[in-house]
Amino acid sequence: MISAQDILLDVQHLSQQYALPKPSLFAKAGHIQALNDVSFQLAAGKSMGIVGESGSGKSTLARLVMALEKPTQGKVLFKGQDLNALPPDSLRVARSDFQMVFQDPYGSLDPRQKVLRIVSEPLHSTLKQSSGQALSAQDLKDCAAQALTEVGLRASDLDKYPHEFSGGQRQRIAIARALITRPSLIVADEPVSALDVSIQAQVLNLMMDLQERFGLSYLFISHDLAVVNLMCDDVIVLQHGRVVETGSADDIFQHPQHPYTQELLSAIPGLSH
Amino acid sequence: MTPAHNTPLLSVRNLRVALQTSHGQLEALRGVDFEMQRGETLGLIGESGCGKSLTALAIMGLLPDRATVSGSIALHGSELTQMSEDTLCTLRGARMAMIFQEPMTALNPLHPIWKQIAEPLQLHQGMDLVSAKARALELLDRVQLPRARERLDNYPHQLSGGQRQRVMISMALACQPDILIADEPTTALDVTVQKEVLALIRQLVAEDGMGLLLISHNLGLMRDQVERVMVMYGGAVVESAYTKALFERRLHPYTQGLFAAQPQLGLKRGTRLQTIAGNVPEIFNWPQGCAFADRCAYVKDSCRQALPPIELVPQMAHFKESQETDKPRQLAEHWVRCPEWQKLEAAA
Repeated sequence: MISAQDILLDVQHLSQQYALPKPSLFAKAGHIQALNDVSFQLAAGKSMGIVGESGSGKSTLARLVMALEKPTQGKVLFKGQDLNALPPDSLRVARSDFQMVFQDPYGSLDPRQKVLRIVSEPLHSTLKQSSGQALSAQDLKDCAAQALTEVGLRASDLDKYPHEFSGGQRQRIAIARALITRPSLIVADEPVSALDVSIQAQVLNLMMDLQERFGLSYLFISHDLAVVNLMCDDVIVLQHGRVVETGSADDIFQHPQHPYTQELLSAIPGLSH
Repeated sequence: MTPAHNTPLLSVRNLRVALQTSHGQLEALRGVDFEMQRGETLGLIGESGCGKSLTALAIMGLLPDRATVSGSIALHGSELTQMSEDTLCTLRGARMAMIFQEPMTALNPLHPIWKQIAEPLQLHQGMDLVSAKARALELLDRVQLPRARERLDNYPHQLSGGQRQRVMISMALACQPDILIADEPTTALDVTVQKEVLALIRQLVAEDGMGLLLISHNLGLMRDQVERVMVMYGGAVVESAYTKALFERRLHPYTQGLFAAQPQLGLKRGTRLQTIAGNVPEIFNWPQGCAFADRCAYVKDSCRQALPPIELVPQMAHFKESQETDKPRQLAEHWVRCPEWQKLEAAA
């Protein structure tokens, strides 16, 4: 087990219900249980993979860990703090320590903003409040330039717009935006699913390099089991919002116990040769 | 129309497509050649923008209006590129059919599914509405849509992604086409559903003896589904071989890079993947010669001047034996558009 002080993220009995639209005015609204009693711990510098099919609750879990919505039940403890118990201002400051990378590098970058603005945005909203004063324009630019170099882009790219970049480069920009606050945790929701194979490999390598360099933890959501196997120490298999199997990536992928995990593995094309 | 005995089902010769873009007229397909017989399965693999889908659209006659096509596409020996739109309409959906990637956008949200399946039957076979509806039910049963009878009157939004793709397949099969083109048919589906849909396509193609042209970016999927694979890059086919042969022996530097970049289950945590240096060039930056030249470690001057010619690869003995003898020679060949393939193989 992980020793108490190494625990970065402690998810306890997390459940989330969403109300369904009422079928008629007087009918009782139904509910959908998107997440049902999910618990896990993630240590600093480690990666946790979340696998499952669409509708299994992967993205709901990501939103709850990012404190973008409140769970119906359970807690998300980040560095020992209950994120949902924090007052809004403190939560905003705490956000600099956990950032997110989304699936679609076309939808997740504002097309009307230059890369400088996109990458430095998290600094505007978080650091300003913690130190009580705004960073100077030059400081912002320096931080953004450094974040861009860390993901393999150039400082001169700061003055460009997202449409001038390819899909893989855009995902690098999204990673730079997540890195700029020096977070301990990055929640990556299908970060390479929209990329071509050869570009996907570049971005995965970059994510592994950054993890070693900065001691990052990843909560890595993917439907691609081979990618999760490569990127993650531990894995959670979700089905209909429940954890059906959890363990080290090696155990789960080599000796899957639950029939659903076995089914997922056997459905990977090209393995039966 | 009685085709000669040895006329291929589909013959594509030096197919070139130029598109009108904001950067001027650009050649997006740079000479695609292949042949297909009934019952054969052929895969097109490559990354976005390489020309896979464009090849499919060219065959179906669905290219944008301002596209210029040269070369030849012949179905049962009749030339499609010169055909009038009216004549093409009698073939499309009847002799050749296509399944698209995103079933939600390919189906009409305003019509119940049975009407959409009945449409080609009314159009091509002159069926009346009642018999077309009955036939639609048979077709939905054939694609194993659960509770098909109750679902006839459903609209696409009432079905799951996998069910919608089954409806798409039943529409494509309605008139028993000779050739089925499937463009990333399962990319939008979950793996377990993907597995079922692929098994269904495989079974139906085998039962009807159709030719299948399958487009995908997924190597594993190709391995399961098709006998022969063509690898595309920058608007050209760079390597073509039996699937089995290609999985043992890859001779084009791009094919090698593509296979190496794919994460495999069982890799040790943290293993760095092999990458191909650089980026896929945008179409307006394609060089005159090989589109891979700028990313290639083996590039020669001649590669930059013109598209390298096709080079035949002598086959390994165990593939020679396993081949069916009545297959036309061309289909059995392993060829590659790279003058340096022998060096590459020696280095591997």
